[in-house]
Amino acid sequence: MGYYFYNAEVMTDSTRDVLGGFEQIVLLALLRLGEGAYGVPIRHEIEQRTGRAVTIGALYSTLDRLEAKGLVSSTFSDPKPERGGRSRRYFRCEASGVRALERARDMLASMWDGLNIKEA
Amino acid sequence: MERRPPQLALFLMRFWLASATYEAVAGDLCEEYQDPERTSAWFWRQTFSTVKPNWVGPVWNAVAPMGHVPAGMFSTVRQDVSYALRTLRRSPAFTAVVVAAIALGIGVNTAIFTVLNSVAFRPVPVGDAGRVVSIYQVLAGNVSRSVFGEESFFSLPELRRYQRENQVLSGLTSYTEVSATFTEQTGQMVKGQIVDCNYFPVLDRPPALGRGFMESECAAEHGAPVVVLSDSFWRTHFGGDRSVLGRDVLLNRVAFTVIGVAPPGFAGAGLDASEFWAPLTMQRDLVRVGDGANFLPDDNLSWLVLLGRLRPGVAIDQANANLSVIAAEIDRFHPGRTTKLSVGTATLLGEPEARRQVLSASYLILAGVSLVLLIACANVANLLLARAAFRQREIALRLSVGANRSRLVRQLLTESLTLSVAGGLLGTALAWLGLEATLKALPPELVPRTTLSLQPDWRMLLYTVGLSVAAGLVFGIVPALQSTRLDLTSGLRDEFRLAGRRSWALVRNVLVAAQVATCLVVLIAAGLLARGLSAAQHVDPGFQTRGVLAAKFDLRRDGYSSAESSLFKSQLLARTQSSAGDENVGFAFIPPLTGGGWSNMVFREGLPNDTGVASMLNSVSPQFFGILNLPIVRGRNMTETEYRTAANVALVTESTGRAFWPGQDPVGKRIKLGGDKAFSEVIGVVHDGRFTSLDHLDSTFAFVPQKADDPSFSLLIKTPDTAATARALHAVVAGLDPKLFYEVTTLDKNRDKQEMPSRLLSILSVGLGAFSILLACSGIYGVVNYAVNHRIREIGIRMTLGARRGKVLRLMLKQSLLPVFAGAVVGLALAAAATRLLSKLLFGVSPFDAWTFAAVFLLIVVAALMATLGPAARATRIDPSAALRYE
Repeated sequence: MGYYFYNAEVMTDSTRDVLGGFEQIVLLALLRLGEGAYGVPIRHEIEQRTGRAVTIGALYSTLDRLEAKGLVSSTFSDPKPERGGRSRRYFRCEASGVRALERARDMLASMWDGLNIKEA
Repeated sequence: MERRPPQLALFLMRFWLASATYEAVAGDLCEEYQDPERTSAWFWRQTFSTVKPNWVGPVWNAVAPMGHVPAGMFSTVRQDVSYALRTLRRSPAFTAVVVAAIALGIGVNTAIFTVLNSVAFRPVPVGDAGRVVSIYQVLAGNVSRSVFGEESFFSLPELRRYQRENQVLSGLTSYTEVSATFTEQTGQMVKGQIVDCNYFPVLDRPPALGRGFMESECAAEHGAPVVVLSDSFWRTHFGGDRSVLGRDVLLNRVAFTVIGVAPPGFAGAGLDASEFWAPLTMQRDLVRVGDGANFLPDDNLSWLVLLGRLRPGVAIDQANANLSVIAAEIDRFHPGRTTKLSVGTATLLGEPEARRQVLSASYLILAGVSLVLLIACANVANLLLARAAFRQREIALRLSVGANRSRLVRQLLTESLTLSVAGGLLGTALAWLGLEATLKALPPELVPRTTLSLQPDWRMLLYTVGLSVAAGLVFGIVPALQSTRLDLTSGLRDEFRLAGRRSWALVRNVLVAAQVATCLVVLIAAGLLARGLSAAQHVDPGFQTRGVLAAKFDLRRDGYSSAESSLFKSQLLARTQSSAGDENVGFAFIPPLTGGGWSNMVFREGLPNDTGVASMLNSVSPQFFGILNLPIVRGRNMTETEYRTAANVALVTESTGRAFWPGQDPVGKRIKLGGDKAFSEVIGVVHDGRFTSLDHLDSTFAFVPQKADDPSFSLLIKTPDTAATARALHAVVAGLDPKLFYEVTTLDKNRDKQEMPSRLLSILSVGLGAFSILLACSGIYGVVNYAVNHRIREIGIRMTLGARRGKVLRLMLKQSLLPVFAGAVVGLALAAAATRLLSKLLFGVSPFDAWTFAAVFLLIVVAALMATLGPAARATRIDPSAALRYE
């Protein structure tokens, strides 16, 4: 008897991938923050605007995934004493990230188009 | 004030996150943690939020063959654990045996790790110890440096420079360990430290009573005869009297004013417990070497250990980088020399060379005890396999009603993990009780007062938990996979025994072979160590050690001048000679077999200066050779007059003669010691000996007359009754100076001390060896017994068809001993590779000693035969008619 399973990441074509909800939120936070976007302000931005707590594990696994898709890039700063001598990892939303966001917005908008929830 | 995040959380993250991710994530968390509203619970929650994708997944994938973590994982884990507990409770004997075997294996391991942890990994017992670093230097290239302690220590000018110029430490202090005489009614030796005046603030251990040192007290040489006492010293000698402040204590017969008492439990940041602290400017009073050498201005003398406290936010690597720049600056004054700094979290064992030696020895021992644990695991695996065979119907039933295999594997693994964790808990308790009992049982003179703490900490916890889980996986995975690999139809028809037998037997035989191989490695190591020890006890040092008393004096420490020393020595000699006999009392600078010695360059007349040879030396009186029964093979002894006038004469050993003047008579040749102006004539050649240490013959050794006023010396007395002579000597010394401190030992005791490490190691390894052969034999017994049980029907058929009992016995023996032989051969090869690591601990025994290898091989085969014989003989007593009906 054998077992068959597949790896979801291998099977998806990242360029046509639809962004998940949280992925969109993270990318938008990066665009809002611009130059100074690293872990701490990104989480603050999201928490303040959405009113929901974000764990650091969820944030970084999403950022890593976005970076693997080429939508986001990151660079390390010099070590900072307030971080126990550790570096900051600054994230930047790439042009492909912006395009993916636009695609996601367009898709949603076309789904919303002409729909009135109050009546439904 | 900087808030310190939970270090264990950071450690765990570093363990499971990729390093780049760790850097960013841990940095973010530390930064946010500075907000006082963030609790440590928050920090932990965030820490665990980083786990899921990176850590649990792969581990779980490795464990459960399905490749994904099902939803509701935790509820099934709870189910598995409670099912496992129920199952184990139903077979208490099995559970007890397994838990005991694992507990012993893990207990020995944990005990050794506990000691290693407290010496080498636990930070020093000071405030916020994680931020305190020790700094040592490793000098390479063209190095010529004086040393007090270790070469990796620093000089005072170097310390001051690092203090002035570094940008990474909020404080840098320094200490060196000293021994001084403490004089009350009598003299006694106390250990202490002389320290830089910022010692207590930098280590964050302010005195509990009185004050610490002030900067001004470290400003000038002999600036301040003040002392801070340890809490235990204060309670022992002053009954905890708070009015001790301002009183004087005599250290090396210099009056020191007590200014403070250290907090309870604090005994310094070194391995030796410190009883007092004094400013390092008091060095000349507390460290008396040579003609009152002054260490303070010497910039090329290693004598200070450096301890620094990292500034907030500075990592160890950054500190190293910054300090190394200063080291490079200092190197510019010493062309050809390069200094490499070793900066690390301060532990009791920071000195790089000592640390390397202790760690390599400890890893060797840990490897040995881990092998024993591995044998125990193999045993338990075999037990589980046997048990699984009897549970085949249950497993087949569960598979046929739709349980998937990974679920079953997981459930069986949960059972073995439950067993191993129970064993781990019991083992930890055993380790703890065992260590406490051992420490109590050892004679107190063998247990020096140290700062060691054997309290469990998170390192030990992590080690034991890791070990338990690893053991559970090791012994659980094979039975779990094997017993769920099942042909359902035959399993349900209860004919599984025949269906699965071939692969079952193979797995079990491989386990037996592995067990035998591992056991052989442990036993051969044990055998070699034991033989090495017995060889050491029979090794001839080349001179007589029995009935020689050695009393060690250091008059400088008690403030004697040269004239006073000279007078004291002549009176001491005359008075002891009058009772013990002229020929039986003599002097030596260093008594034999202390492990230490006096080494100097020796130059030969007529050869250029660069042909000097570093040699061992001793300065002695003429009686020395008679007391040790050391024959003078050529030439003559020094005369009494030559000794009294410290004439320029020398005696050398036979190998020295051969090495220095091959093919010539050494008598009449002339040698010069490094630093001396005049040549000394070789007047005699003595027999070779192991003077420094039992494990090697000193290749070059010369004896010169001891100067009459030399204040540091040992008095040697040859006597049939060392205890009575020691008492008589005590009376003599008390008559001369009742407050003088001196140490009495015998050469036999020196010899015992030298053998102690290998003796302890061989006791440990023989114990482990016995334990492992017991485990291996019970494993073999179990396998053969099982095989016989499952072949009763087959044996019955064979016997019905006319097979003799003898033939059945041979068949059973042949099949059971095959894996034993295979394992033994593999074990021999492994042992040959492994014992090379032991070569340094073996006195006069080759690591490939054929006798040991052969004996152990034989022992294992015989033991295996014994274990096999019982069940195999049972097979021959089978009644064929009953066997044919047997299901």
